[in-house]
Amino acid sequence: MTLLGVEDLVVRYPVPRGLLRTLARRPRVEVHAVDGVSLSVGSGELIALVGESGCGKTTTAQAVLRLVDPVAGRVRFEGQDITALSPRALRPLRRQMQIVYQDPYESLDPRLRVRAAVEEPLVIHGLGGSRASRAERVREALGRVELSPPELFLDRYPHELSGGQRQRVAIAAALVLEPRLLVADEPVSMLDVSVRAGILQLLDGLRRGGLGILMITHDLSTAARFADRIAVMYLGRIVEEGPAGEIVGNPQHPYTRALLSVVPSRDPRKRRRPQILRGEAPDATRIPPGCRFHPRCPVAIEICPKTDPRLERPAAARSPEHRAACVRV
Amino acid sequence: MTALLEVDDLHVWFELPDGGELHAVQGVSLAVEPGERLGLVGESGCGKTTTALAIMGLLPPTALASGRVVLDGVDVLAGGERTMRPHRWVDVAIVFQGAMNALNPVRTVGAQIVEALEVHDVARGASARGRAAQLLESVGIPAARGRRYPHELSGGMRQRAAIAMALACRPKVLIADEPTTALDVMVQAQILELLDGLCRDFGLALLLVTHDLPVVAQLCDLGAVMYAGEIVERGPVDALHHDPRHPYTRLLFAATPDLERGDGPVVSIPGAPPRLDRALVGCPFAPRCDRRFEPCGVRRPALRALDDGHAAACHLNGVG
Repeated sequence: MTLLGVEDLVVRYPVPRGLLRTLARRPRVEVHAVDGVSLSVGSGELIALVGESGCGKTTTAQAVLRLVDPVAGRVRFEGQDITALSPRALRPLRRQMQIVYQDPYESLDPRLRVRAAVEEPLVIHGLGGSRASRAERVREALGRVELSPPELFLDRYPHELSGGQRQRVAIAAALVLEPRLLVADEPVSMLDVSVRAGILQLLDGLRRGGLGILMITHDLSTAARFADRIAVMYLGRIVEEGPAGEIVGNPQHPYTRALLSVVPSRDPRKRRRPQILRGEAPDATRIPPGCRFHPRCPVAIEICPKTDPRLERPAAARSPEHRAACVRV
Repeated sequence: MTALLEVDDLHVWFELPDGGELHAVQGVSLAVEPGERLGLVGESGCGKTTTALAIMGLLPPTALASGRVVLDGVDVLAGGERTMRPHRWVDVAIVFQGAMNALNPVRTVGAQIVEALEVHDVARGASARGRAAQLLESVGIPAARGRRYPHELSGGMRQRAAIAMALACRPKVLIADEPTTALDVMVQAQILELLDGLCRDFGLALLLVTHDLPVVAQLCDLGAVMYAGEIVERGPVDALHHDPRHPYTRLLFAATPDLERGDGPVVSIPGAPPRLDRALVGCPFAPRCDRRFEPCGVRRPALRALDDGHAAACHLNGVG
């Protein structure tokens, strides 16, 4: 069943103009951070939202959690439209949707022991009953993130833990509310390679237990390994999406192809010929007309600056769920 | 061939505020020959950046170093700052991870390169400006952008400018310390392509310091894997991947996800590296190792030559 449904989500931020530009009546400039994104996450599904910085993947996640308000579009959680819910009405839903951030060094309060950090969400939401039953739920949550035995960790401060352990505590603090959806924003990018796999396997296990996970990442290798489906974003839009194996093995959009080609392989015998795109993505205040990727596209044709392609099933798709937004596929 | 850069039994200790000492580098030896590309790989705290800083003579005053760092036949470590100064940037140069920290925020990038050229008596005045423009072009920055301030450039462009500045005195060895870590994949590919081209076109030797095994696998000929302050395995990158002789190297590759799924599961390495502020007994990797046996807990294995420039510090290759 669909846990999270996002339809045509649009988020824009005004760019501060400054006094002089305001007096000179220069036009308002807006960042089109997210410009018509649709996606869904089911229970027990791990979706990776992949793209370079500034493509809008984090803003999408924030809008899903109503941490920023969309200009247009709908966010549905378990069928209920939450786009316009008041903060009060939203509150009971918040505990169903939790987020884990990139940097466990910043997301944990350095003055709180593990016990208090994991218990805090219960206290805030007035859940967990008596002190003793809250303590039991904290121990359970630590067990789920494989910090066991819990006694070893309950009284430690974040600075006494390794990076991987801190991220586990952050995940425990999200899980203690027993959410249905977890947004993981670059959950391993600050961690050492040797502990990354452990965190990803933990997320994988939680997914098997029925949790829906929306993972934001710039790392295609990680997405290829752990996601059920991958959505590739470019300048505020999803340009390609489909089952992970299909996106990695049979990419159709030229942006996805380029992104995959530059992922270095750990095997020195597999030296790929990277297809390096020149320049950098334009900023989201100046979105090119037509297909927004056309100025950097290696296979652009005459029609590309004039047509804004929709996500459609490519002719060469092997999976019925494969979609790409490119006139050439 | 004589090595451009030779490091011999380098040790670095940091004084801790509580009076203790942290033994960050514990006997590192390496050599970089002309045109060679060596990747120094390891996880945070393994001593790779400290090694790079010791080579450049840029350790903070709280550090104490021993061993030899030989540049152009001169031991620059023993002689201290006075011996190092004529060699720094001239024989060996470094680029750091955050290019913003390497560049002066209140001067244009062009002016900073001109200054570097003048300070080192490479060129002055108009000829320095001409050379600065050339350097910028050689790293893929249009010369006119030299009039920009660092904050006006993108992250990738700043890293290019930092590379141009490092190349001002035509060094023979470039140390790149996590040169692409904070960058997006596409920009990372651009910078790696640039480093690759600079090595090929100018015969520059590269010491690439990184936590990123795939980057070393793609860009370098040789790799050295560091753990707990020492090199635990080194050799051709192909041998490191296909015939690792230290369990840490094998497990590190296994923990690194690859686009191709068919390659076995991605597994993490349990445990954490040892603290370096107390003496180590036995092999530093033993507590996390899946192949430890009796000698590992008591004797620290030395780095032993195996074959074809391949060496490892592991008792599995023979206890001795």
